[in-house]
Amino acid sequence: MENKQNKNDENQDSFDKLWNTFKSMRFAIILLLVITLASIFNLFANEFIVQTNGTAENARMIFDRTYGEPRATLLSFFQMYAPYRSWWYTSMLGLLTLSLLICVIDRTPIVWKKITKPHFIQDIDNYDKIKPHSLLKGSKQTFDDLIHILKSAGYRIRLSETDNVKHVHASRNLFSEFGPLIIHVGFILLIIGGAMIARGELRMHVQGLPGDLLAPDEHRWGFNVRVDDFQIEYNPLRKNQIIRIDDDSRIGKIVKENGDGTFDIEQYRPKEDYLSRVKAERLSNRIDTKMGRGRIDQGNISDYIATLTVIEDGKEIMTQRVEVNHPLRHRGYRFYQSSFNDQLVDSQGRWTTILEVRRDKGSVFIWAGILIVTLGLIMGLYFTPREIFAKCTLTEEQSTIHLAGRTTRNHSLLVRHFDKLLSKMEHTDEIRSS
Amino acid sequence: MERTDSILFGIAFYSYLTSFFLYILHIALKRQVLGKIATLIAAAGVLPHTVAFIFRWITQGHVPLANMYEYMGLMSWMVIIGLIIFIVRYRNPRIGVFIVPIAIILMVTASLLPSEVNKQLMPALQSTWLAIHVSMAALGSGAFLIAFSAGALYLLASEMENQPKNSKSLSKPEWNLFAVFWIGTPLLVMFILTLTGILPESMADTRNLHLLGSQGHAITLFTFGDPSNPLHWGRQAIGLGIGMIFGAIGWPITRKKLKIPDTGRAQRIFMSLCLALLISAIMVGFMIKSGWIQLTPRSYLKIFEFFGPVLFFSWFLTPLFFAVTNVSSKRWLGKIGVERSVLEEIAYSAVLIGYPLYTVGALFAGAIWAEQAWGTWWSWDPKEVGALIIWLFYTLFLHARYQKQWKGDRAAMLLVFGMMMVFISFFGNYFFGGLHSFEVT
Repeated sequence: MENKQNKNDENQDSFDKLWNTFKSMRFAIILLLVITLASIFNLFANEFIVQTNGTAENARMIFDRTYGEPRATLLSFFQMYAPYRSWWYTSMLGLLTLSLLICVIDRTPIVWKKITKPHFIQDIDNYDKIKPHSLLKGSKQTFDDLIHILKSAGYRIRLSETDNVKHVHASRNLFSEFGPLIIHVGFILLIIGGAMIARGELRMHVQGLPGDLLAPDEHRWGFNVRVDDFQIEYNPLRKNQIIRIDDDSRIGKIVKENGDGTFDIEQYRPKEDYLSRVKAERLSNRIDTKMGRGRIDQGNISDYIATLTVIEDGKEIMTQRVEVNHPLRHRGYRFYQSSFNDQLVDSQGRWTTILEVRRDKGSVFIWAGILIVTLGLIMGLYFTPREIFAKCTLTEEQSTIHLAGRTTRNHSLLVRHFDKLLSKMEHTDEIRSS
Repeated sequence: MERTDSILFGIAFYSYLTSFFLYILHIALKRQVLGKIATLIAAAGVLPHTVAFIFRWITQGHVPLANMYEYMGLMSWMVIIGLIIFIVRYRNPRIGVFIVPIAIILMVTASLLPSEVNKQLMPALQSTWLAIHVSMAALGSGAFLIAFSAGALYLLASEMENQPKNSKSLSKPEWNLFAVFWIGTPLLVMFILTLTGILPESMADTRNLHLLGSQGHAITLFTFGDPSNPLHWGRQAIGLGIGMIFGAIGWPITRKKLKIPDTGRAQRIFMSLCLALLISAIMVGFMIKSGWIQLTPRSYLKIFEFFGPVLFFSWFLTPLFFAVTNVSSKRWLGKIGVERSVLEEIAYSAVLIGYPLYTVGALFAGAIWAEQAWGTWWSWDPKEVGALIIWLFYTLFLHARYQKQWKGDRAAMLLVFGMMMVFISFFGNYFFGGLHSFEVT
């Protein structure tokens, strides 16, 4: 029985230890540093390690072929084919989430207490320990003046009065202390949302000519989508533009616009060196070409526009132009204009559009996280909390006031502000005495 | 007509330059009026700077934030706005003397980048989020640069305080350390790598693609006379890199071990190294941009082609900067007359201003835009990871400041590192590729 109790205590003890580790700032700092370094490492690793299609089997095969047995095992173990999704990187993010969560649980009551409950400094010696601090002596009126001045400076005043001693806790922007906690909550949501998307996202490509229906399984989607039209818009040709001529066997650069719809073009023949380093040979003959003969490079496309109509139970619900940056959203499904196929052409010469369909359950968390973090950032970083403490001791005709100010940042500005308050006090005193 | 914006940009540049000299005079002659005039001129320069931005916006028909020239232009604008905020806040125009140069360097750098007016945007860039995402990221980075500037000065000033009076510039044992760590180690590593034939041998080829413009063989210096001969930057990069790590870390440690009297120069070596790396990175960025160095497309060793020359240049530049700060800084640093506590406050406030802008702009607006354009919030694209690294770093800074032992020098060092990350991410387009390299392809 006793033994069990001991064991429980031990468990409790180690739990406390773990909890204290996780809530400590030191742990958070080390974790952030490690994640930063790991991200830098991954950034470079992605450049150096041979490309795979991201699946374990394929990666193993390619690693074996490229690096040989021992190194391939090591790389596969650390899942270096997809380093950002590897177990070690994600578990670090998991630890970070845990640390965020514990921090929020641990700090919320403390910060709540700090904001809601007034804090009075009782001991006079403590005033001297805070910078800036000051000692005022004046008439009985002086205390009321102080309260008045603090109020007009936008301070929230909280008082505690006993016989001859009055304590003041004046505060401004104290809500700002909640900022960091709100940011932490927001990031927990962001990580949860990200994890949900990474785990269970529907992602597929559908393609269709104008007139085609897109849904492979209408029952599962609950609706269908029809392609009405697909167009590609081009920017007008201009000087220095690169175009591909005769099925990419030559590259042309426009050097002059002739004004009659023709252009002077310098041609180059690309010669494949190795990999994809292109050595171009200059032909430098002037030719006239129309847009039809040369193929315009990707960079000159101004937009891809697919017109889609959503059909539910045989009824047309809505028609929308889907272009880059403007997806169609319906019932949690999102349709993105992703690519095209110029081999499948309809009777009017229109190409096939390729759309990407996505659906996930985490996006709500991402939106919530973004909004909450933004709110927290504005609250926490763009407002500076300031506190002024005072203790007023009244004797027969006189009052002695100890004053001190405290802030978490921009200390020299507080010092100036404090001096300003003091000079205001003197000023009111002078007016009264005169 | 199209170049009106660059004329306005020039006017802004010269007003900042004038204000910089006036700040120096203000400090040297101790005339309050000069400080006020300098601030007024700097503030006046913001007007043509803003008009240039608006003018470019109107001529292009889209927000002028689609290339690096425009990005740097906005960053420098933010630096000056930040300067004005801090001068009003601290009522000390002297801080202009170390913040204005940042804007000047940015503008010089920007003016070297291609600045053609580009009326056509590729489909993915045609979005309102372009304005939000890029402008906020640029403004945030601008604020981080102010933080860096204050942090760097803090480091230099902190060394000043520790340094005994009348110390000689460098003692003989220190020269020996320099020879061992800065010259010996890199050369040795390079020599061993060459002897053992350990690759990578990556090629920083001179340009041979006539298509994109002039052909310059000005890089003969690095190809040892034969422009067609690819140079093995990989070995140099590894050799110099290891050498410099040894130099920056081993030098002060060994000095302590051997009990060579501490003249407190560790931070200065560190500062010089960072400055040298930064300037070399910018230089190499231009060399790549102007075609002097050509990166092998899609080569996984491409990074060496960037960092090889960067390390090569900084190997030369670090001792140079070290020598320059050694000779000159002592006198003028003492005269600047900005307290260290104020420097720390400015650095911290600048991060507080920049951090929300960067988080919301670079990360959130970018994610929202990516969701609209590509259907995915986050795709671990190199530039995204770069932004994440910067963000993690400044998050680290904000947390570290709550810890006593991290205040002061260490926090300032974090800011210097942070600024390097900002620039690596900025120039990352040149060597990482990925979804954000719209310009380079």
